[in-house]
Amino acid sequence: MSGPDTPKGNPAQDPDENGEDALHVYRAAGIRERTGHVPVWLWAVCVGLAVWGGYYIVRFWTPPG
Amino acid sequence: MTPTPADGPEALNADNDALVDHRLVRAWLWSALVWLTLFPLVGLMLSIKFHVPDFLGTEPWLTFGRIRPVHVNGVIFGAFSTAVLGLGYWLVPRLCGRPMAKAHWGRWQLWVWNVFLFAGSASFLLGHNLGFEADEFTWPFNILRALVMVTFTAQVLVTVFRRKERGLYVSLWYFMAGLVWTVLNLILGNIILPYVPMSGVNNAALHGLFIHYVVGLWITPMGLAVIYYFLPLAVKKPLYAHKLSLLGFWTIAFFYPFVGTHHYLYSPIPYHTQTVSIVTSMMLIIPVWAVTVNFFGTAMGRWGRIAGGRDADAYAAKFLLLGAVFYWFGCFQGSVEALRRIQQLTHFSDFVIGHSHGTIFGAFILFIVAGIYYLWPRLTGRQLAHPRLASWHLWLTIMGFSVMFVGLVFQGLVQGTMLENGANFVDSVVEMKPWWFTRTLAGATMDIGILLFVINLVRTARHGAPFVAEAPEPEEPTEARPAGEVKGGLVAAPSRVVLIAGVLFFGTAVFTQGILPSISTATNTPDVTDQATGLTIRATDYTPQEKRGRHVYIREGCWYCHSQYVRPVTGEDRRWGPVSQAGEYVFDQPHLLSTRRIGPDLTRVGLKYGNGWHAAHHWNPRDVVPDSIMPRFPWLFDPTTTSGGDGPPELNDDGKALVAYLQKLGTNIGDWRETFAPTRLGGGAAFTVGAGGASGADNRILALGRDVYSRRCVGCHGVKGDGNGPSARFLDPKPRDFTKGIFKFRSTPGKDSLPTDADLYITISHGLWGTAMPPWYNLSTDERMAVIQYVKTFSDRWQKQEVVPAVAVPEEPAVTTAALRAGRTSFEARCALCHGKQGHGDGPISRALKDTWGHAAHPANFTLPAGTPRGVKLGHDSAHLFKTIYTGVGGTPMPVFGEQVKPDEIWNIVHYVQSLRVAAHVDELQADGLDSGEVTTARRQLWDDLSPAASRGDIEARVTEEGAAVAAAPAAGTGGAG
Repeated sequence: MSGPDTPKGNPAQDPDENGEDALHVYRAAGIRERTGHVPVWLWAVCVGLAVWGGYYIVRFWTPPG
Repeated sequence: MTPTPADGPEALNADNDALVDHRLVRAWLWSALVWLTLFPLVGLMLSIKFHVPDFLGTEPWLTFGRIRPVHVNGVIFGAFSTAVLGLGYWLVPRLCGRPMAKAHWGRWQLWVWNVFLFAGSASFLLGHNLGFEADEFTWPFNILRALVMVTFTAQVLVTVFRRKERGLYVSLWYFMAGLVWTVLNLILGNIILPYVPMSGVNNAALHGLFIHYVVGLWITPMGLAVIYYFLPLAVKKPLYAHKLSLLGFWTIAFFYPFVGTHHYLYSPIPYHTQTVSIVTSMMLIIPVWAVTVNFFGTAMGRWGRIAGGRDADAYAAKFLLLGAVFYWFGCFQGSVEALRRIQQLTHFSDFVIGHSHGTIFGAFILFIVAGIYYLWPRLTGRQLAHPRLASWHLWLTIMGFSVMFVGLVFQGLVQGTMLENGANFVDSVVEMKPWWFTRTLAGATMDIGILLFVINLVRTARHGAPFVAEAPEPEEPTEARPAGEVKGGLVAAPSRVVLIAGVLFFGTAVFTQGILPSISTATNTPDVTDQATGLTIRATDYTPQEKRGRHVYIREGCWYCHSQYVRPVTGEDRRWGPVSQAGEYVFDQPHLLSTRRIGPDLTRVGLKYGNGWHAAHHWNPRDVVPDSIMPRFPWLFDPTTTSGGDGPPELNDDGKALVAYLQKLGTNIGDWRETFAPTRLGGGAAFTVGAGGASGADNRILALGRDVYSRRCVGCHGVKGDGNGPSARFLDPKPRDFTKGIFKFRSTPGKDSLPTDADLYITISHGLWGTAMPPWYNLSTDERMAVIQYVKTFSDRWQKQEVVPAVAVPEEPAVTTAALRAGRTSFEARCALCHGKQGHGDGPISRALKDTWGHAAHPANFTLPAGTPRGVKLGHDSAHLFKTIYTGVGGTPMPVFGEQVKPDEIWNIVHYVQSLRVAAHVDELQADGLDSGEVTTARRQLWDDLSPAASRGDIEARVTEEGAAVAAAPAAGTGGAG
């Protein structure tokens, strides 16, 4: 898988126009934006926090003792 | 020829200037520069006051409590928001491909906005303050602000919905949502919080949300909109990942609305509401990490160009990325400080101030500074005049801010650790002073950086070389297509941003975190648990004078430094008194829980000190507490009494009202001091310094004692120990004159006998109720024992006379009805002449009594609660009363009864005196709503608290009930007893 800074292909040739390397331009602003991706490690952080959050809410819904 | 995306961003921009009104943006940014210079400078003034409390004199409008809201609101709405609104007039049209709707409104909006900031700030200085942190503006200024915010929001939404650009860039998500959130938040803060009647706890729950909506739903989204817009342009690269933008935006939108309650953890706000705020605070790690990965991913591959660049774009990139670094640290700190254990240690301290500065200045102010750097050449047509000044600005910011941020965080940890380990509060303040001085230096460094920034921009506008847009770098081989809807994206249409993020999530959070808790009965009724009996009574509303005092308390900003809730953690209940209860706050709107403790918590300050102490303290806090950093409040005194003359300055009506309010605080849970454990500590072992010749150890003890005395006692008792300290003139009764070596409360027999160390230890630990002598149980045992030795040096009695052994208190006999009747007879015969037949301290000769120094001596009124002037000073417990009757009260007409009255009779008098207080206490509880069916239980509990003899064997019930009857019933021919 190529990184967003080292695009291998031309998204115009990609059937998925929202592929990771797809580049979009906001014409009037002159800003370009890649579709990009969310790193796996960040998903892991999300899952970890969600699990912890669920535990914490259940455990501390009422004061201990 | 129409430029194509492949031609690069600058080519695309070239024909887009017609979209933006450059003069309008310039005007907004000029205003922003003024506020950006001024309001942080106000913060520097505030910082100096921490270590030079009299800095800027004693003018009311320059005092800490009036300047602080100028700084906080000025930075938020002046320095930051003025720039954001100005930048909005640039980025919204460009991202939408069409001019801003009703762009010409921007001109009157700018006038209105500046009037709001100028007049609103002046109103703070004049004492107009709504009493809600970050929501202090009163209604005229709220209307001005709302006028601009609502019209600007409408303009942005109309522009977005009519945009020509197919795609909806992430900056617009944040811009739209931030504006919608803020308009809703202004309704919450400007209308609901101050004007919809609610209890203090409910007020605090909603206010916690409001505070964080200002930070999280205004400053954060608008700041992120700015960096998302300018970073790809400044580094001349595409934004790293649209999907990270999605993750960041929607997790902010979902979690942020719930977090605000974490400002009041361990308060009486329902526990589960606090828990939800903690979890959502931690979940904010997700968006923070998502957006920072996005920012640094965007800059990847351009580090050399960014670091080495010396044009405006390069400096914009540097400040954006520097801000992103601080954003990561500041927000991570913010998440973890919501955790209960972290908050136990750090809340109310500079740790929190570190977080707020880390995010507001470290991130968002730097983002808008970067935006201005980027736009300035494009607005003025001139390239940055002095890259070297920009470099100085950058490095001064890095150095100054790093020192400030790290310092604040660590000093918060230091203070929190000290307090958790039982340090005296003012000692923790002293420990902070070098840190605060460093903070001032750091702040000055940052402010110099801002000044250089402004100078650079002024010179750029006048003298900069013509600006030529840099040609795009043809390094992107990828064919780009116009931005459109992203398949499966959650932000396919602006309506979803407005309705789901802006309204649905916000409304859900306000309902679950703010409104649902307010439905709880506990937060709406004045029912509280009486501390002495554990039974339910009702809190009472403020009197008109106390309400006026509360207004003064708000006006002078006392609540910026003093919290009003005792948490059940880190020993706060031992330090300040019983933990706060929801019912105590029913009459508090605005609530004054506060988020900061530059001074001690005031929840239980009522009746801790006498009125004279408060007068002296407000006249000059350092006269009373030499280490205090509290401002002086001379304008709370009658001017005709402040310019010399015989008497002390006298409080004016505002001052008296403020003291009345302070004396009310914490008294709604009954007479709790009588049973408060830390004031019932026993004494230590006695010894005499210098006995057998002064040793090195003695000298060390005296040195410690001298240090304690000079910091705690000198304000009242004076350097010479003669009771003529700088605050003594305000006090009645007068502070003890140690030079005579005469002390009131002793366990040693004989008229004015020298007390034991244990006697003095008890007095110091307990304090003397109804006088200026506070309890000092927060001092270490060593310190208390050492200061006792030092106090002894003021009188040669300690060298000439021996301390005789303490009287042996005989075993307390059971309290019986007969004993109480006998006690009453003895009392009327021996005590009523001074104390009155009913023990009210109003006997026939009471007004004529003088002490050894010639001051009026007031016999104790035994029926009064702890801390009331002219009540008992050391409590009603059996052993103390026995010793006091046996040995007399030193330096007063109270004789030594132990030489003429048998112990059994003394015990009878003791129990009768206790019955007077029990009866009065029961009456107080009934007046406060005690259920009539619980009177017997209450009476029994009160007796148990005062006398271990009252609960012996099966006599308990009869004694407690009949005893009260004895006390309450008028005695034949002698009048009532209670």
